[in-house]
Amino acid sequence: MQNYDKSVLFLLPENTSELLSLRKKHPEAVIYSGGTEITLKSNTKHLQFPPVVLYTGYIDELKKMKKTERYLEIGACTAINKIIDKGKRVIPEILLKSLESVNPPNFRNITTIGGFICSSTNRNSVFTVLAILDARLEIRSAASSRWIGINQLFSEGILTLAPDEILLRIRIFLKDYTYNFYREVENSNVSEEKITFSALVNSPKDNISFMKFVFSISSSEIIRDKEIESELVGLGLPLNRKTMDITINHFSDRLSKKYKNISDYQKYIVLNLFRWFLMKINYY
Amino acid sequence: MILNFLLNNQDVSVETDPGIRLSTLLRENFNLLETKENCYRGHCGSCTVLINNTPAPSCIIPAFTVRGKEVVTLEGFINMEEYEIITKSLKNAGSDLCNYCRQGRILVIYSLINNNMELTDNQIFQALSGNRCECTDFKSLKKGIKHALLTVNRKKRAKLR
Amino acid sequence: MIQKNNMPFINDFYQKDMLNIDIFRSPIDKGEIIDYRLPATENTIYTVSFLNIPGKNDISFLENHIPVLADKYINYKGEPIFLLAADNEKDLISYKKTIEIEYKLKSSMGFSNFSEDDQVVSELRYNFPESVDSITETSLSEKPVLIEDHFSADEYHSRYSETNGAVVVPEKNGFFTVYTVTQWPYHVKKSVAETIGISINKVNVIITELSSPLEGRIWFPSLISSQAALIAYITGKPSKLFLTENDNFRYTPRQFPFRIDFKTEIFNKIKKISINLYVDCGAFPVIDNNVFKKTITSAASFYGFDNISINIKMIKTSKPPMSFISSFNFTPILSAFEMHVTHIAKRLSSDPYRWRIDNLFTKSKKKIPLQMDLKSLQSSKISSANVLHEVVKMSDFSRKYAAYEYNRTGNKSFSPFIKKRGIGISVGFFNNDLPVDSMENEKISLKLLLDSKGILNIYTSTVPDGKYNYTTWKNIASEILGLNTDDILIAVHETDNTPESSPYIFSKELAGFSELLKKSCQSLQRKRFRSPLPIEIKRTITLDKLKKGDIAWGASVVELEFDQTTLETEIKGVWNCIDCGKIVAEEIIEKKIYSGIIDSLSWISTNGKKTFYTDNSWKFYNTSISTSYINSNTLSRSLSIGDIPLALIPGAYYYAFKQAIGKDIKNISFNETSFYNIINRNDT
Repeated sequence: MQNYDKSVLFLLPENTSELLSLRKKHPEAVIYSGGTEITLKSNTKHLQFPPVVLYTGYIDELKKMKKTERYLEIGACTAINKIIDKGKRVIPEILLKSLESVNPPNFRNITTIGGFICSSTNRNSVFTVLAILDARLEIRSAASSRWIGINQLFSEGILTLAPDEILLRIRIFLKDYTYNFYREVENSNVSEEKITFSALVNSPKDNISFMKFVFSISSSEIIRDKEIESELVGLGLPLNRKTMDITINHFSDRLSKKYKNISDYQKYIVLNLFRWFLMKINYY
Repeated sequence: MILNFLLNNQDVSVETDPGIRLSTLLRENFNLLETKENCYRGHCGSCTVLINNTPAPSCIIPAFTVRGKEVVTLEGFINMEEYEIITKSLKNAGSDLCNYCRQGRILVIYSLINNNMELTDNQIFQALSGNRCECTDFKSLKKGIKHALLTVNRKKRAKLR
Repeated sequence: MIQKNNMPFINDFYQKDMLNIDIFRSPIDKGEIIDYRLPATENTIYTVSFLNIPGKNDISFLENHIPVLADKYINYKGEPIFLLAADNEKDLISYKKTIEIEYKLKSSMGFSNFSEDDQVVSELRYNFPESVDSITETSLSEKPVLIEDHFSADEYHSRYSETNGAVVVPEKNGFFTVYTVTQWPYHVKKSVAETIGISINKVNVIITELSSPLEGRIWFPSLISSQAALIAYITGKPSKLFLTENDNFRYTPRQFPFRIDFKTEIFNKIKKISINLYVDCGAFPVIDNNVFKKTITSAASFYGFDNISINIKMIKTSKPPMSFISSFNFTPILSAFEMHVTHIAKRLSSDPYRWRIDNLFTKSKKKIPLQMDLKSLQSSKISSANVLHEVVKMSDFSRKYAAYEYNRTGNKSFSPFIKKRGIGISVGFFNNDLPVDSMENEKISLKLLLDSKGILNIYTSTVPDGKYNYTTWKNIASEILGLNTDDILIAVHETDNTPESSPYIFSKELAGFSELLKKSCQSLQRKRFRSPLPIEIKRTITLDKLKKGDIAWGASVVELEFDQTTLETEIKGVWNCIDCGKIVAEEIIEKKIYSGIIDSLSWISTNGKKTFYTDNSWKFYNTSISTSYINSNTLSRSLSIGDIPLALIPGAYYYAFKQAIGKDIKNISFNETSFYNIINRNDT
């Protein structure tokens, strides 16, 4: 056998209670689910690990999915492809589209949904879609259990979970929307420059009663503008040209003022996607 | 750690560094050299193995994650009927895979045709895009896969009868 | 005899007591080593610098020189300074981190802002005819139309399935065996012998299993084999140097970046063209200006210019030494040329296809010197017209071109729903002429042995660019000798048992080697009736005997759709027609074309900043590609197609894109960010 670095402690719980007690005992442990965030950091023959690794892949109950009339619950350790396999009948279409865009495709067999959304470098695509779907997350520790909105998972790019806490399940409430859109724009040579757009609209009798749209840019910026959303809610469809132009200009001004870090190219794409979205709901 | 798992249909037990890449473990401890190690980023696809019947890039999978699981490499697959069907179909379609990518591609194809009764071009494209070897072209691969699927389905139906 | 299919890949090569080698590379672009400290270690780690080289610290290639290890001067970031070797790779990683070097930094040498005084390593000025008036027909009352273009292209490199590596095993009596993958085993043999200062006869080079692609491995395997041999020589142990994907990507030679400026004067027809070419040749140039001169004059000549003036500058930069991929004909320059030609056609309000047909091989006032006889010129004329006609027919080019042109001029407003389409055409060739005259004495050799059991063994050190070529070789031999292909064996490419050969690309790939094999088999077949088995045939031809002036022509059409909302481009189809003479093995040509197109598309769309990890070539796997092959001059031999896709696709893509967005492009490769800049540029 090769000599190896015994300073790394690998913890391999087989059920949730064991996981929670190990988490309590080793709050410094790094959670290893699909593991791509850790393994991709070392591209030489030898993998580098943090001192304590807590692997969640042997806990079958965290790989389960449950669907009720009201919601869909997905275990945090479910591989992306396992969710995709359930298809349109089980998975909301917008979520399915975002999961199918996780690249490269062969990673979808090992990347887990929990790992994906807890990774600070992946706060686009699936994360924003779950955010727009108002996903709730079950956060557990040995002593407590709480549900939080996915928007509360990060604060200024840092995970907000306490050291002894862990994400166990994701719950998505199932509602019908008149329109749901997901688009992803990838700058072909800078994978980090991905821009995603997700939107949900309800417009019974051609009146916009509900609208939510989110852009994510390069995992660093998430753009949600409630003021623009509320400007549009209550309007009848189709929107007239003037209203559209005013809204787009207003959004453009707000982008320039609020999001100073985004490049001209990114702003151009965001505004184009916004125009496309408005025209799409007009002529759907 | 002592690691027990099912490798190519045999129970194996090995004392290993739990953090070693699965690809390295397969190559160095079991001399299974069909599993190639190249990019160490799961990008090139030449390290693909089947873990519990699912294709996975073994270079980004540490050994400690396969305890009790079933791992299949080409050496274990080569005696299966499907191997014969896949290689023959590919060859007839003009897609004679090189020795570098064949494990990755053949195992992915097996998983595809084993889990689907029908295949769209996009499904094939998505599944194969994890293997970046340019020894063959997508058109003939697609043709070969569709032919292999037909053959496997025919055999499945015959068995059911 | 060891069969090819029994050879392992380099990384699969294990031997008892084998040392692993790592390279300590320069972290700076340019400077001088003032001092260094090698840390003390409990582990046995061998450290080798240029001072330990017993022979020459030099890999020479086509009269150019590259050091095996840096001496006190650093010329590029990543230049090898120390070789480190140990049993355990992990020890090397930690040891490498603790090496300290003190440098005196010098300014890095860039390409875009090069200094005339320090960086121009060679310059070539060429005018034909020698005295050229600035404007040739001043008597004409009509004013000349002046068309200028400036294009630049970034690096182009191959992505290898297996990275580069070498294993060197010390044998008895001071002999060494080198296991590696190279296009030129005899160059490895010579380089290794010279580096470790032993007789060339004491080095045997064995080629391990091939993985795709082989290109770009012309001098680089000689460098890494020499480095591995140094460790094996000093330690007396088998030594393995296997590059990580990262190192392989960064330091394996890639094709030269360049900038090219065209200035063309037109009086109804093209009269004069002036070309300035600047080539980034990295820290150590491996090729000379003549290669480029030949490419440009060939490209220009087919369009019948009267006067040509060429100015080529080779620029030394702080980048790793470059190489050429697949072809010496430097295909991206042909692409730039085609982009310029398309611009000319556009300015003259012609359909780019029609303009080419009208202007290819038009009679020029003065005949540009082409190394072609009249017969070859005539066949080129037929070929180029035929491939253009065929590809236009296949793709329905003329109808689509007119329709998209109408759309472009008709509707200029932005609509997120309208995807703009464009279609482009390009014609090009692969010239079998030798780029450097000194190569004429290079040879390709072959040995055939029909043994007493009736088994044919083929021995050669000409390494083909893919395993699939062996099938073709077997088919050729089988057809002539009437043997079953299972009774034909290809011996491992080994310098000890095979006669000396120059690289496969020198042999013009299939065209040259197949001819030699065919002739050798015919000669064996004749001998078979007279002599008892075993029969041995040895044949060698020098490259100057290979058919000069052989040109394979190709034409491509690319159709694309441009999404105005996202600035994404989708390829709707690629059509090609290649005139490759007699087809020896269609599957080989098809694979070459396919992988060439995928590579080209990927290169074009990554703005030259493609890395292994951001490689997007897989996105093009599903592209609809149709190729037809013709043999318009009814040749009985095949013509090598080299890197035709790389010459054709960018030009066709360029025009398709230009038509879709109605703006000019200055770079041969581009991405969404550059599209944004192009679209928002204030020109038409």
